[in-house]
Amino acid sequence: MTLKFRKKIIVLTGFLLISSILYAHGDLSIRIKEKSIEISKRPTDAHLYYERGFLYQQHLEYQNAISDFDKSKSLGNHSKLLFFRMAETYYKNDEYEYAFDKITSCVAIDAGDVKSLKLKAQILFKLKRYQETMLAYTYVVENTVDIRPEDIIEYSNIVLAIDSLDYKGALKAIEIGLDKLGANTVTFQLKKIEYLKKSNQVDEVVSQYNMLIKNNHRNEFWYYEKGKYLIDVKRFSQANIAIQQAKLAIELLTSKFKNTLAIKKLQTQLNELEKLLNYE
Amino acid sequence: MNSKITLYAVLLFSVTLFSQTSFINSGDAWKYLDDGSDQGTTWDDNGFNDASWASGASELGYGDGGEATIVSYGPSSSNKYPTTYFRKSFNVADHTLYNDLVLEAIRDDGMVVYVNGVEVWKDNMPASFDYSTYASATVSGGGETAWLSTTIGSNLVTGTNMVAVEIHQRSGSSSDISFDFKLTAYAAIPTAITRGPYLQKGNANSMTVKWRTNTSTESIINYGTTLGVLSSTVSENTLKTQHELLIPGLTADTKYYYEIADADGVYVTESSDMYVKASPNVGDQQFVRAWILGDAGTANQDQRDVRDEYYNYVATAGVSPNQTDMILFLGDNAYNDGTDSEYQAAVFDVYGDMLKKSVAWSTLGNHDGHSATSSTQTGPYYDIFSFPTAAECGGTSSGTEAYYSYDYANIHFIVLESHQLYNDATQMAWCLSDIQATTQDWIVAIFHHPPYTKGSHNSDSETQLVAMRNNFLSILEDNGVDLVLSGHSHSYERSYFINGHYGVSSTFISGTHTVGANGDLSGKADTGDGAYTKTDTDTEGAVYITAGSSGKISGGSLNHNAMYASINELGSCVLELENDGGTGQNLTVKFLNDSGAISDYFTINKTGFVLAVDDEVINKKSVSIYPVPASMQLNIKLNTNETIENVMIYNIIGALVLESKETSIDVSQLSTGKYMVGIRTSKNQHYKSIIIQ
Repeated sequence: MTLKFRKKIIVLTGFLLISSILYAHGDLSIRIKEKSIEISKRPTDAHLYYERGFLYQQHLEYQNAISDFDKSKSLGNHSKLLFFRMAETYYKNDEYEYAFDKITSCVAIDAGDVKSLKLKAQILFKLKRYQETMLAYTYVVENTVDIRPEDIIEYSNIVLAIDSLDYKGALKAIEIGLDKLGANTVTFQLKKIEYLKKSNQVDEVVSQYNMLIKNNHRNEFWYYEKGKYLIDVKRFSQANIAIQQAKLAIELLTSKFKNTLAIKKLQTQLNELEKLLNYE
Repeated sequence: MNSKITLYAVLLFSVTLFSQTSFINSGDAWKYLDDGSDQGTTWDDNGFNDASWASGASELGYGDGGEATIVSYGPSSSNKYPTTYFRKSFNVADHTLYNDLVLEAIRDDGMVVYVNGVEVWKDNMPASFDYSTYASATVSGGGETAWLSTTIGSNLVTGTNMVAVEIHQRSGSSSDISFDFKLTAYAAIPTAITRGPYLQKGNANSMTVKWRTNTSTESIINYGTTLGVLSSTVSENTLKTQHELLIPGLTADTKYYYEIADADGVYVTESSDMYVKASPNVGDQQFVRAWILGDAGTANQDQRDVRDEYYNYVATAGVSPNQTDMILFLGDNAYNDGTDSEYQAAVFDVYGDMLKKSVAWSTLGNHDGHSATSSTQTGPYYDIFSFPTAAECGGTSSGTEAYYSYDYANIHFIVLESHQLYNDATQMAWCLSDIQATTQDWIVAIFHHPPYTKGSHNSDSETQLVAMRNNFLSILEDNGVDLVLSGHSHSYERSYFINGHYGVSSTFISGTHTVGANGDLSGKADTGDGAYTKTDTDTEGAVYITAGSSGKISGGSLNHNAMYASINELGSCVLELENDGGTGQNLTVKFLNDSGAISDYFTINKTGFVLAVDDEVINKKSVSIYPVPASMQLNIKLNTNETIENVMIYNIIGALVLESKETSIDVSQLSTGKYMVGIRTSKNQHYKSIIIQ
């Protein structure tokens, strides 16, 4: 092997090694490096520090992110977005007091911004300032266009965090979601069942399962859940009906579904429920 | 007096004849405020008192040397004022003569324009801003002298009108700002389409059509099944530039040609190459072709080459030529940040011919996610696409466009969000509910971050990829998924026929994680390896494809143990589903490279689609019930050594609706639906399912 060729091999190997490290970090590391180069050329550009800070945040380097955000601020960036990102970074790093300080500055600039208010609500929740959390989040829920199911669920969780027995309030939050996003949004249906169960509203739980059974072509899993619940609340004859209906629903499936692992697991679970019923 | 009337008539005639008036020109005098004060929110009003403001001709600014009027940036060159304000009034004799305004500006760096107190144009500024907000990006080079332009509906008034503009610096230390402006009013700008049309949310009975125009106008679509006879119309009178119309009442699997119009007439004429094709009825078994594009958005020649080879392929296809039922975008559709202008360049300008006749579906990529966020469903990605949130196209209602499902023929598509929601419990719960609710013969899952890859990304170690593998694969596989499509790595990688591998590459074991006799082979139906197979009893197995090379290639080690093929080539994938000549279907996926060659392909053959239940008579064990479905009488036949003690009929929610001790029961009073019959005999308890019609 010639020296020149050996050098080429070394260079190539080094390149591949560096490339693999870079690829292991994904494109964020590359973008951080590129941004650092830009900063070196324009070291007093506040926005470059902000942009790199945001990249650091996405890369989970929270201390570096805060450092860059502080630098951006010192260079004259006092924008709402900067305060928001600082709050967000502190929040992600579990530094909730600092997060609150920054989100307060953010909201002071735009009191009606739902994104900022949502973060504020989340921070207040962590600080256990629950009444203020509710105020902020209620505004968010009522004023956000394109609200997500996750937002509604979070809202209902906050209701329960304030009062762990306020299932009425939590269910009301879910109803807001059903109203905004559609009565068949399955995420809300499941959460509604959970809250109804926890508040011992047995008939309502059964009604909810019945609704899911009626609204789905495939309902073997819902029959199973209904049967399991009816056993828990000692309505054994009704439970048996639900279990039998689950088994019949499986019988009516095409073989393709009948032989999936999920259905096989379900059949085992149904048999176990039947044994439990026989014991009762 | 007569001369004034004559002059007015001449002006009116001129305006009417030439249809435009320039009210503001480059070089005109503007009032400006450069004292670093925050003018709040009323400074742009027509009645605001700007008497104390300075005045100067445009171009106004500092730092570039070519300004007609130099404005102040304050006492500190390292902490320049973030915002400088500009106002100009002008008189309009008769505002009713004008429908559209063309605004043109030189701006450095960010700009917000108000006409008569209404914000009408914002450029290089974030959605929310105030006095202290800096521009989103630096304007430099040619951008400092380039004229930008926009067209808006006129909100002029008769008499005094006001244009107010705020120019925002990029940072306290930025070297310059620039501002110049023109305003021309028109009787009517001829409507022209600037984006689309493109098709969204297709189902068997409706289609959504979206497009963008250069001026605010009505939304009208004329459509029909025969060219030249577009006898149906949908419309919306609200003037807008971003149009979205739902065409309802379609017949399944039927082609409808369409044209786009406004109140002045048609401006996108019908053609044989522009149509809406309603989806087949859910469950129908027929030929389906999907074009799959991963990480396509480079807007360069590579992307166009990949596109052209697919266009050649489909035009000359031996089966169903020129049929593309859908386009599946696997994310990273527009580099680098998924902005609106990047989408224009990388999606609409490249795939326009296909988008006007094939429905586009997409999952969010990480680059799309630079400018869009699933937590608020905002950003260009969410503005551009319209996805079902309430099961409008089949599947289970998710309540969000971030993840959704839809049906096409007998395929169920599940689209997940892997960029921000890879650990999201709500998405997981929805995915489980959705896949357990489908009755479709085929299940395809789509998400951007691949669970298996050793391309430009590594699924052994990268957070989102590992999370998707751990959180979703068992849900999908346990419930019968057939194909999983991802992008992100800029190459083509295609797995064996596998199931149950949730670890790193080195833990993949051929034979353990491959399915069936030939799961560890190529899946090529026309070779000795044969197609992968799924039957009604052998239901496990899926192929995983990482196809992110529709716009660029980035290599990588490309040695994931689960992969049959790993190819560093530009290309796209073609999914074709067709009858296998018997009672089953073949799902074939081909990787078509940028030279037109098929570098890889495989087939999954699936049989056993028949129903499990005989409709007429259920003869099982010792009891039979007939007829099924029943309408008037239900008959129960037992073995001779059993006698009926009691029959109870329950409705779908388990409520007892009828009780009898007879073997022939009058069921005429029962409403149509599914019921369960519980039969207690002298020896057994039986349960049967029946349908009442």
